[in-house]
Amino acid sequence: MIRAELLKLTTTRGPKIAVAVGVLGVAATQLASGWLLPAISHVDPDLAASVEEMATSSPEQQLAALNVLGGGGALGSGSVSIGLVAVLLLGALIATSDYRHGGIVTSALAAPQRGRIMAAKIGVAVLALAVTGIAYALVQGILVALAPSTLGAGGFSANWLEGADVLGRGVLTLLPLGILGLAAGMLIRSQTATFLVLIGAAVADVTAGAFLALVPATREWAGYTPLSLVSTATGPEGGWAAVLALGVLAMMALVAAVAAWLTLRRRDL
Amino acid sequence: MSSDSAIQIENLDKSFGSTHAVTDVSFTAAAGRVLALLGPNGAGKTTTMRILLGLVRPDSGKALITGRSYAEIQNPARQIGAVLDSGGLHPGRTGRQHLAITAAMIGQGRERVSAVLEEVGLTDSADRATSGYSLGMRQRLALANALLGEPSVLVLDEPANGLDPAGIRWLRQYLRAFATRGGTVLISTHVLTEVSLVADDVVIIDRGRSLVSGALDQLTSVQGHDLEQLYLSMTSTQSGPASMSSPNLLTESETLR
Repeated sequence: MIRAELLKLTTTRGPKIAVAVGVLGVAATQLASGWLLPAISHVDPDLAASVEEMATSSPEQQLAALNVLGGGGALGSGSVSIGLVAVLLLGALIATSDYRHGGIVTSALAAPQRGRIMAAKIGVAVLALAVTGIAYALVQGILVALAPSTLGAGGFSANWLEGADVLGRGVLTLLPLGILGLAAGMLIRSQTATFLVLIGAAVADVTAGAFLALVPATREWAGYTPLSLVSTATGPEGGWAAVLALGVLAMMALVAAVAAWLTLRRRDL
Repeated sequence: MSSDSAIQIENLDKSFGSTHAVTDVSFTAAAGRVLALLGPNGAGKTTTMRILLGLVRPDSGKALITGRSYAEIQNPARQIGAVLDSGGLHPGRTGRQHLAITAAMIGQGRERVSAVLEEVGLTDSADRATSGYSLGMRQRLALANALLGEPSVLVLDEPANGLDPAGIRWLRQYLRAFATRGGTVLISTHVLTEVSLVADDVVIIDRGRSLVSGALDQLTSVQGHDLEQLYLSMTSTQSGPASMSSPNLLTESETLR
């Protein structure tokens, strides 16, 4: 069943486009903060402060910039990046393509217990997300290492292990995000509706996070919205906070996947 | 259940919300025979087939293939081939890719994919995207998909839809040969002339109820009608379901074999 799901993934353009958009988004964000803004900073004196903030001269700045879902430390915290949306949609595509084109019936005829369908989809999603994450990490790592402010400061000076840790956590964080997209697709079925729900949820998360952070009584909770957890999991600080955030994201994905499986098991097709 | 019943449908009920799709449908299909499920649009034929194939859960009743529900059969696609509609095709994939995906699901190899493409006459178009396929070609691909597992039971919902005359003839001959080899065919169709040429047995279903079932030649000879007259008198496609009040027609409880 996994081989069949892999064939489904590789014989259509949608997933490839989602990965390409994600990789280009990661690259474009890094190019904008590392190349474009410094190049035009002379136009507006106020821009110079932002450029200084986003520079990758020091080891700390370089580690912050390696966040694959942040696109540079200053752009990262709790925001919706192109790379993040692409990963959500990639997961959704793996689920909804079958419903859109009727392939779910063929799958259910081959595996009437349907648990194998869900397991195969999750397996293929993990594989696709890992490949996507590695592509993100390579692009991000190369662009940070070659950024003018990195080279101007004598090259990449952060600890390599710490750099690999930041990039690795970024890749791992993509997995629960993609599974959440997959589960949403299995539950909603309609491709367009799933995309709208996922993008809407991501935007609502940013708004909710900002609102929680503004109100003193709820300020503590602002760090527990999914996007804040993503930020903590992928951020340069790492440590137990990142592990905990990654664990909570994984639990969310697991709950969503179980809900999707139970629904698939009972659903008339 | 009789020992030669490959398919057994017993007191099947299914409602979707307030709509009764299937109400107390019962019939059996024997090995080595072609059974045609006849009925107007919305009669419950497709729902009955989907329940049989484990795609829809019945509210009550049984739908068994060789004595087991579809979900209980190990690798069922190797024993049962199904055509439910000519959809289910991603327009960007080629015919061969579609079959390769199903083959991977059921543990068949590339040789079998090539063999069924040859069997349904799609070899020349196999590597074209299905977006360019005609309805008849899509139907042939759906048939190829059903045949991939070398099944002994075929469940076909309107398989002749979109086929050209040569395709219809090929399908008829294929199904007859399949049954002669001991296979079981359950087919739903509106084309009564085809039914009379291909089917051994018929079940007429209307408004979710099975009205009559039995061997086609016996039904038509006992009733003194041809198949079209029988069908129209039994179903609500005319002024109304005169069937049940017609004194010389057999009801489900009077099944002929």
